[in-house]
Amino acid sequence: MESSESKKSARFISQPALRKNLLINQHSMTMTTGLAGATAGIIGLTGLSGFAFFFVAGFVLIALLQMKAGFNWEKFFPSYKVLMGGWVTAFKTYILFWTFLYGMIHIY
Amino acid sequence: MIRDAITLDPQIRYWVIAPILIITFLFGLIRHYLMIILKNGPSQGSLESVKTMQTLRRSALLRENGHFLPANSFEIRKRHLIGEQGALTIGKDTEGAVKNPMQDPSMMGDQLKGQMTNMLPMIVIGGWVSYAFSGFLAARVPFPLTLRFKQLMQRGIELSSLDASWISSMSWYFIGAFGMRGVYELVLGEDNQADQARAMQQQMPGGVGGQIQDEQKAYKAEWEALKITNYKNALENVEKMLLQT
Repeated sequence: MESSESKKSARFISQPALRKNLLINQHSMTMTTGLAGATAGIIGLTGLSGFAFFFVAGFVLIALLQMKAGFNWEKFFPSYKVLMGGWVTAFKTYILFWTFLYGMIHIY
Repeated sequence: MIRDAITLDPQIRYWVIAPILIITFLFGLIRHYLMIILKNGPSQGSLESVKTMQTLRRSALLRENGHFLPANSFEIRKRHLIGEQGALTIGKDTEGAVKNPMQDPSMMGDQLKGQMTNMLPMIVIGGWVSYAFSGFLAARVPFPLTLRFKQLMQRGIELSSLDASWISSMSWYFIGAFGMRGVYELVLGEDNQADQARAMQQQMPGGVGGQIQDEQKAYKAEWEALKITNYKNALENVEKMLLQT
């Protein structure tokens, strides 16, 4: 049908809007990984369960972002690939908060 | 789950861990503002280079968004740029002087300032931390590390049977310095100068506001790219789409 054909035509992406969306993504990523790291530290997760918790937090983050986009990711971002960046920084933030809270609570 | 539970002095918590973290963060802030103060100001380059960059950008935009224009408009613009007297053609054929970025004084100054401002605090604080806070365990990373890390993480401590998870204050400083990047982005917004990793990447010469190293090559590439761009009407079925909704 015509509608599915015309969907392949070019989309007009507004650059400032896209940048703002990416920024929102990045901020949410930083905050949730920080919070997740703090939670992991407070609970006292160590080793593998700590890393598993990071992945869980990642999935929760993606799910929440999808909900914020109204499950209509295509409307706000040109592709799903924008999710791929910035995870290493998020991981480092996670480690920082995790170590910090773990040390604070469990070394007494 | 806590293997060999070593009890550390709670005073360490207050006088070592928290201060190092706070100092790392504050120094990052200082570095950011210092860079802003010391920066040369928005370096735009000469009129020639500005013209060059704008022309190239215009051509790139035409390539990217041209399919939203009517066919005639696209062809007019294309011919204007790469025709006989086109801006791109002229730029392609002139032999410009190759500007060596290494000899450009303003760029070197910026680069040096960036390098110094970023590396110096790290070295200074690292040295101070290892001097003032050496010889005892600071914290414990919550995951098991191999013995190879012991050499790295336990700088001042000479126990060979100690679990590699226990770290010295110096390694705590590094963990803090690396993990703070996310926090800096939250606090300082985009384009913050406290971001060290990105600063290391920015040590490459040239950049958005700087001068293009070889303008002729850039012109040539853009000329060829535009030449092979075909017009594709993206708005062909737009009436149908409108009538359908």
